[in-house]
Amino acid sequence: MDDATQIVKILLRQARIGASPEELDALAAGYPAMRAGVEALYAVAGARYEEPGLVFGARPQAARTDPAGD
Amino acid sequence: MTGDRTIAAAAAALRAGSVTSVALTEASIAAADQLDERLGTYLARSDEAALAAAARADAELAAGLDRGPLHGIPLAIKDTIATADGPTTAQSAILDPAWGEQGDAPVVARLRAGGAPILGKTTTMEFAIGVPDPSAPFPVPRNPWDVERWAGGSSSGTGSGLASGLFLGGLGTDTAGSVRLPAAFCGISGLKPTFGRVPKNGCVPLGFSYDTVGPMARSARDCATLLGVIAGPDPGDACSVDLAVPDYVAALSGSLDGVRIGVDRLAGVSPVSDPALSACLDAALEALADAGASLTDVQIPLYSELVTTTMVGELAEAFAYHRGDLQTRWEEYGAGTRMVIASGALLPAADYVQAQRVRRVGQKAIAALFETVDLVITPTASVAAGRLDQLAFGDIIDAIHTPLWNAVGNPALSVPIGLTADGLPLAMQIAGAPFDEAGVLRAGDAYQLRTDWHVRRPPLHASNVAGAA
Repeated sequence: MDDATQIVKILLRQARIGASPEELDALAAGYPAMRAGVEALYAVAGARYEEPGLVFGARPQAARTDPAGD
Repeated sequence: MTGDRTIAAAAAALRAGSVTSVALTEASIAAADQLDERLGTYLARSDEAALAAAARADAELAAGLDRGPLHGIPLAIKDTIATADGPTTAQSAILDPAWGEQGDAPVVARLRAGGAPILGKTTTMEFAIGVPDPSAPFPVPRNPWDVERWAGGSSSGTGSGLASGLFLGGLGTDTAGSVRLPAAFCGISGLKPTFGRVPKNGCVPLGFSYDTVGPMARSARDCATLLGVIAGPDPGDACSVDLAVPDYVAALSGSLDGVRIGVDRLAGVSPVSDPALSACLDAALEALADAGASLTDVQIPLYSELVTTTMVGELAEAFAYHRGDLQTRWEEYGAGTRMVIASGALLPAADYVQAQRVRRVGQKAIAALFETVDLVITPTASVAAGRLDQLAFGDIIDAIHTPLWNAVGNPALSVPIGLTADGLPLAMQIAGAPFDEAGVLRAGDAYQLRTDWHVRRPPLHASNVAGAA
């Protein structure tokens, strides 16, 4: 069993996802390319000190009034 | 018949007394009777309710009560958007029917308040992601230009119904291209508004921080009309932005004098490209130049990274929403849907946060680009609609150019620009700065005043079918 298959198997088991062996193989086959894309995000120099664009406000369900803010 | 009209033309005819809303709605119903089985446009129809709404519209207009540009115009709604006369299924056996019983989503309520009869709920991909699943107990959305091909997704039924003349306008949702792709593949117009411009509460979520509700119609002008009705904040959507809604139709001057357009053909981004695309794009750019625009080549910064942020964020957010159901009802999901969403389980939380950081970097880089140009044009996709028996989600992602704009939130409009050698629509995408839908729509309208691709009829069209009014 290669690394990608092992990782995918563990992550799916951790999430309690009951994929079939064939489905696990398919997800494992796509995993290296997916991982490469994600790794490239950590190579974006400008992100080093950037804050994430997460939406959170202290008031529940309040409409945003400042389009420039979060 | 609806197929001969745009919303603008039908609205004028209603007020001139040359057509009634009931007649428009009856024509839509007759066309659906003839074509829906072959196209898979609808999941549910509301014929009686639509006719009743149309009769009310006719009576109100006759009495001098005018609710605005959609009064009496029959429309259709993607089935991820809740409607009071439902059902809302998201084309899935999974969605709790009680969710769809919450009443109209704000966007639907606004359409009804504007006097638009709602014809029914249109097909999508299951939970608005993936590709059609012929084994599922739902219609397969087919393309009226070639029924062996996909209508595009995930706002598939709205796209196929508009192209085939079943209705005059409708709503889709767009998380990575789901308004713009069916618009492109069906040869109509579709706008992804700025994130927050249109409230998304009442819509089944796919990617919470990417989802948008957008108008779809034959023309950019009609999209402007629809957007003017559905835009504006709602207290139920924390992401909606409290900005005044401009008169989008009034901004359609027909001229692009002084407008700077950057063009990125994205050559080499996609592993395949239709041979006709380059010439179609050249001709489209020439029409924009004729309208007064100045054109310059640009390179979109961080293109591949931003596409990745959309895929990472969308999958992580979708997996969070679906995790419980995937654990307990795996077999009830479509085989393709569950595989795509389950891939979100493979993304650690830090990857999701990093994607959100890169989105911020991308927003700044894109903002810098929009200091040098007013609009950016790319192909919507490098290829036309694929055959239903050959669709693969990964191949589609490689050939489309829509997810970038969901990553940064900017508005983007898809308009048709020509046909492939096989007679399938191709399209370009016009993107603008955040909340500059008016500029985007103005360019689309100026282009469509000089071309007729957006009103070309596919082979399977209401006007070609005996019995359809």
